[in-house]
Amino acid sequence: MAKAEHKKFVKRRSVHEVAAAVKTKRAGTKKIKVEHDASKVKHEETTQVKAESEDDDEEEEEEHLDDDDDDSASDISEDESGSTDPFHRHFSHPHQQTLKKLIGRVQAKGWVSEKIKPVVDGEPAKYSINFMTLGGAKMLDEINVADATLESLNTKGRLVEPFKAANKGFVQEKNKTFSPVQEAVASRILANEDVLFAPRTISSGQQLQNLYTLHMLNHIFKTRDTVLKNNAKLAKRADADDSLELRDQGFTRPKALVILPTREACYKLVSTILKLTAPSQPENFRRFQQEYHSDATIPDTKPEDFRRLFSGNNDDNFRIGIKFTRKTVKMYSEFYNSDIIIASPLGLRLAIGDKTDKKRDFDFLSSIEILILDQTAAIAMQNWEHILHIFAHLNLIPQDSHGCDFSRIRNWYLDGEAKYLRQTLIFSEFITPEINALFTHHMNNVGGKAKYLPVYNGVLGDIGTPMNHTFMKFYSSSPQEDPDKRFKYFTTKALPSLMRQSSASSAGTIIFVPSYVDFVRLRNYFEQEHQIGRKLGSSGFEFSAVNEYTSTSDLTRARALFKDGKHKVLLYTERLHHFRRYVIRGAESVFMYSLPDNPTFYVEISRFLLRSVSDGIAEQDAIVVRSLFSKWDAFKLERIVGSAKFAKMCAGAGEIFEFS
Amino acid sequence: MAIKEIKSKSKKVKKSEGGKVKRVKEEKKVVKEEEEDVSEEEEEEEKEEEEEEEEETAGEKSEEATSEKEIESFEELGVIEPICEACKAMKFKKPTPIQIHSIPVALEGRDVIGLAQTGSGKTAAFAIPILQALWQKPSPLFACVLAPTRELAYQISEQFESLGQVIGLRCAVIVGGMDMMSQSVALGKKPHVIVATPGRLMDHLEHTKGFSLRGLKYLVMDEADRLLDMDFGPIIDKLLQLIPTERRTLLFSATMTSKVEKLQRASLASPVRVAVSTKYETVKTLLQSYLFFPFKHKDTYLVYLVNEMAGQSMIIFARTCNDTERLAILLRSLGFPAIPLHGQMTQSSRLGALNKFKSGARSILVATDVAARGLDIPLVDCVLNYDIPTDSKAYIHRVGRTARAGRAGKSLSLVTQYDLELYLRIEGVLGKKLDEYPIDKEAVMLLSERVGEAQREAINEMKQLHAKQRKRKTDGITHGKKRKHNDDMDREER
Repeated sequence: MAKAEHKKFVKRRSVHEVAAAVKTKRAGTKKIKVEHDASKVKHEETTQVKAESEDDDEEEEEEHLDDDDDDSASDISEDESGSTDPFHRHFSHPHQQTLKKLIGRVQAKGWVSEKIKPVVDGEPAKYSINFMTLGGAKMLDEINVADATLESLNTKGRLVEPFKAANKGFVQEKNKTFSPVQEAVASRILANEDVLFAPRTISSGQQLQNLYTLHMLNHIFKTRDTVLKNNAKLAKRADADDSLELRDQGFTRPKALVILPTREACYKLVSTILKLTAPSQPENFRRFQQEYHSDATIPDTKPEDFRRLFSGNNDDNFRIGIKFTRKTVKMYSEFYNSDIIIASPLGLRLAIGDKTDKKRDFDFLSSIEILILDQTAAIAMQNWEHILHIFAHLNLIPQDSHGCDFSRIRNWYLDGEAKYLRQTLIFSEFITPEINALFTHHMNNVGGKAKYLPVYNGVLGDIGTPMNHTFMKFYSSSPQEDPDKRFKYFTTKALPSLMRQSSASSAGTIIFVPSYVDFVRLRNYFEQEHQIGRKLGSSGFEFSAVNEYTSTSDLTRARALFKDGKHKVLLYTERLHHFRRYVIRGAESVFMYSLPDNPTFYVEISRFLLRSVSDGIAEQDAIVVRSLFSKWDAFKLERIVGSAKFAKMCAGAGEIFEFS
Repeated sequence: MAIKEIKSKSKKVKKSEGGKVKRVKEEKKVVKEEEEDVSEEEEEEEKEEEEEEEEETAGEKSEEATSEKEIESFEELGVIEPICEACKAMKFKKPTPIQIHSIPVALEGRDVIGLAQTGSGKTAAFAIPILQALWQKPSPLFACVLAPTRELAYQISEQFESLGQVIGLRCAVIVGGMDMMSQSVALGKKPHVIVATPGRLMDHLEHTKGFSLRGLKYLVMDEADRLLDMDFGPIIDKLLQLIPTERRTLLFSATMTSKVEKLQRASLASPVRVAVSTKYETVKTLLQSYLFFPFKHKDTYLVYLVNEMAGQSMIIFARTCNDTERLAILLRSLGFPAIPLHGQMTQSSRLGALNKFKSGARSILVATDVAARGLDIPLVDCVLNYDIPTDSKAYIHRVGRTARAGRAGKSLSLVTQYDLELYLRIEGVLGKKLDEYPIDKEAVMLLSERVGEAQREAINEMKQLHAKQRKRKTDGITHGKKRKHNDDMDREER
């Protein structure tokens, strides 16, 4: 019966996910902000339509302009076959046979994996790299970035100086171009390989952004310049000669897509873009600043990563097109005239539409050559389904031509092979099974892919005061049956002792449930127990359940009841913690139904107990954090107990592991 | 008078059989002779047939029988090794008469008008020279083959692909009723050969940016007489304006107009006329007969005949889309595996119907004249003319669906009191009286009650079908408009 019920919940959840969840969640995030214009979304949409019509004829003129600036050094002669520029070797003139062979290998899933533990300055680095190559022929040779200059890395001339200026603060040695973090990934990124970079930190965020922005702009400018040059070439020849084969574009103009969690993050990215392009006067910038940026701050009592993520304009519904003309940058350009699209998962999902929608459009995603997901851990806390939806609509052959010139579309676009050339870059604070699934299934770049995984020391020491941590392992043979096994283990083995203990004490127990599905299941179970208890004449089983959809007033009440010991049990979800970062008071023990994805949360929630100790509610000896895990939680467990211990815990025969 | 002449002609053909075939050089002199008739050409269609006969004989006079020797292989025709290999792989043992005579001429780079019986290998006759020219100088968008129906276009492209596999040929089919975008993508890849119906090709020339036929070297019109006549005329004219005049043009058909005005439309340059048959000749291995009975028993007779020939594969030709639909339902309700094919079906269901018939899943195809021309379906045992075609050319093409490539086959025409005149005209054109099909009339009448029941059922079902279609139409007005536009652009036989 439990299984059937669970399925029902899953179903309910899935409906929930798409529609209501996001809305309400958004509402949740909005509340944190000091001020937020509720009608903004609508406003933006109307103005965006307006921007379309605004889209001037200057475009046409610009198209015919000849290449007259200082890029001649890095401009490539007509025959690019011998070029070492990754742009030409990977995108514009890939070697036909090699490409076909590599695509065949990707389709056959013939990835060869190689694990490397790099050494930096004689010490093992804080991350390991997992290279996935296709063996045999490669799209291009290794790039050495250590001592290279930007010019030698085929960077467009106009980007060199601005990048140096923007990056100055991060570079430690004088002669170097990149900072150590940048250097670690630059050889992959600049070679158009796929990268999943999981050791993103607050401090390395901007450095990574500088690097990928440089790469993205370089790619766009090269594409654009080639197109303009070929336009001129064709115009000169008139229609006398048809034999000229100039295949230099995709179906549609947008070449890069960046997915970010919030408007403020988008504002920061655009600022970086502007720093690197230094346009005289970005068009529509004032409006952009108004709609994407606010000075709202968050009090210092909240953790720093939370302040970083949610300060400013933290709306998670946006999408914007950015177009580069020769002299300037234009915001709010219509998607089909844009070079870069920056969007949140929700914003883009709404633009794509669902199968049931009458009017859907996703052709603008057909020719994305560089896809970037930044702050992916925060995106994972939003609705991950949107991400999958976006990936499912990337690099398809469009439904409408949108006026493209078929004689100039690159052959691999026409052959529907665009997804095997797209470069995907994912930067994340940590890796979740979902993000890992993207790496396995959706990153099919023939150039190869690399996964950077941090080496974790564990966070148990970060809590400050030693306390008891108990990890209980249960067995499940597949991720699908994991929830059922977990529920069974919890209700039969863990819960009785938990109840016994909590009834003996005056302080309460927080049950931390990361997944909403599990949350609903537990809440119903407790509800049932409560009813049964009441029928039997006792006062029942009083508990509170709060999640990310709970209204603020309900949250306040639940927290108060729990603090006062009126409700001994509090169900608490990971997303709620992500969006609020409350300090819950009145707890003597924490039970983690499943471990949190974000290791910081483990620390913060453990500290609730220290707070109880200082409040005088609980004894230092009595406080304990218990966690339930199975081998499918390996990623989460590694981050909490450290890379050295987790494997043993997952593989070993033991069931209960205690740390103190 | 006309009939007499045909008779004399058919004698000549008999003489020339077994490799002895006429090769007519249509020099300018001949064209001049024909021009005398231009003034009369505006006359009614009925007369047109006869006129054409006369023109034909005019051409006949200048005929000279050449090449008497036996040709046993493609090599002897000057076909290069790889293509000969491909022919072998397709089990072409030796070239057919039309191939023997047109291939060398086409290889010389002359324009060709090819006239040969149905099922005599005309497609290969123009495909081989094109492939050879392509082999010598590969270039994208090299040749364009126009066909009057979508099904025929697919069939031609299949043949091109299997012949051209060895030389790495890329071929695109551009027909109405299919997705524009994927066709644009196919054109963007610059295939060597395009096989198209005129309307959709025009559509792409007008709307698909980056696609043009300015580099075209070869233009082929299969079923040329159909493409050159009234229905397609204006579109063909427009198309030809967008195709370079320095090209080779090949016209092929089993029935060929020799009207100058029409041929001028194709703007040939001193063409060579290769005629392996006279225009209205049916294959010798074809057994033709007719049945004469009152109109009201038409369905009963049809059912009787279908029942007689149960298990054999056959095509039943009817005049209207509605009739094909109705007959298919009628036959199906009586337990015969029938499937309709007509121009009002969507392209995917048209192809589906054809494939089911080809694969033998359904042994009876009920079709309009959309299936009359060019379709090469092996093993059609019988062609049944439920309605007598109004156009005697259509008759030739219809019965040409059976008895192909030297096989045997039979055709049966159902003649009622109303069809008499049409039928006699066809007999006149064929130049012979056909035999009456022996039938037991009482046995037929035994079926009438059962057939009447099935008729009523069929009518009911048709009504429901129409109601559904009407509903669909009102539901999707915007879609309907768009589709109608496309259909107009791609007019074809229904």
